[in-house]
Amino acid sequence: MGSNTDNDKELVARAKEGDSRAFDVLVQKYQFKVINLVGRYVQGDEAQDVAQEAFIKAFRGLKNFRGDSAFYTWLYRIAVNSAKNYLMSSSKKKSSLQVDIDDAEYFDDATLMRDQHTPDHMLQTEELQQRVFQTIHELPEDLKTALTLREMDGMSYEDIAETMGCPIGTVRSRIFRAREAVDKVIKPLMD
Amino acid sequence: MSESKRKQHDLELLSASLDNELSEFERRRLNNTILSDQRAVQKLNRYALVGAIMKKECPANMNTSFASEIMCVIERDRQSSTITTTSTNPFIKQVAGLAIAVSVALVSFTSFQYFTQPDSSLDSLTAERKSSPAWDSQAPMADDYKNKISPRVQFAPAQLSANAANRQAQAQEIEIYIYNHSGYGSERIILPYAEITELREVDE
Repeated sequence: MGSNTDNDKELVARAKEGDSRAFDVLVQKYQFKVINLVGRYVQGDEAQDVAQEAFIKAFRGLKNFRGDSAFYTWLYRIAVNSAKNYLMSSSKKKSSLQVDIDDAEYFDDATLMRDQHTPDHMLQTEELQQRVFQTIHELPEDLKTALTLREMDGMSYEDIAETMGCPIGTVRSRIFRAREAVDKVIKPLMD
Repeated sequence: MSESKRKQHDLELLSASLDNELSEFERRRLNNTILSDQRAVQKLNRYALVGAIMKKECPANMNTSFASEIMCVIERDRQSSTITTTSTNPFIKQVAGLAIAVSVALVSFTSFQYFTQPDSSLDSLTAERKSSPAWDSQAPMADDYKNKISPRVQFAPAQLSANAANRQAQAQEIEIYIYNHSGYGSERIILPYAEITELREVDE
């Protein structure tokens, strides 16, 4: 099996050549990790905006990515820097806001009230989460265990195979079938 | 392998790719498949979402167009760079390059001429300055400086008021001071311009 570096290498190479679809795959693959990472620094919905900014910066800086480290390690650094930059700029904005409040007639609050996301694009994930956990709970034991060991414990297929006493191919198949079962439930909610 | 089985196999590869558990051969095969199938990319997104929900990494309000908004910006970037590239005609590029080269050469030549011209060109400046007697009477001036005074300190003293003349004299003093302390420079060094903008008495 390839290492993490190898797994994204080809997609990164294609993205560097201008194949935006290859970069799209990388975005789909890492978006939740990056949102979660940025969320440790930035609270609320802004975390997603900063995460988007991090991906855009990554794409623009791809030519500088030499591939010495894994793509995600590189993306991780960009995301953390983006979050820190956001915090710095927002703290500056806050201090200027306090000054402006004293001088209210010059204060344009429209810029601060502006909401970038329409409700159509925002998905309340509470129901989604309930459905996912319910579906996983109802899965056959072997599928549930394989998926849980992978997602919750971050175990490799090899380690899961050893733990469950089955071939790696079986582990791969079980994890796939578990994901497919959940996907059937969440797809209508997302469409 | 039947079509449905092949599809199932590709989806299994998709799932394993999320866990970085593909061989090189499988990876190449998947990348060729997935990059041409938007539904496969969406499925990858949902597989990733399942993992994020299980790890409680999913935000409470999720922007469902997260990835598409990123791709829009990237596409816009690409289009603008294409427009920039295509709009620059190679002939115009060459002409512009030539024009810049000629301008640089002209500036270099003019500068060279200016700095290597004989002192006689400065005589006119000196003569003009000598016709302003107020200067000589109000401020002591080094002989050397009198002959090489910077053209930027040429004033018309007759038109100046008493205060202005005083300022003028002090400006001259500063110029002389700077000149006398610029021994490390060449004879034709361009002196910094100094102007007194305010005079105040300071109680010590």
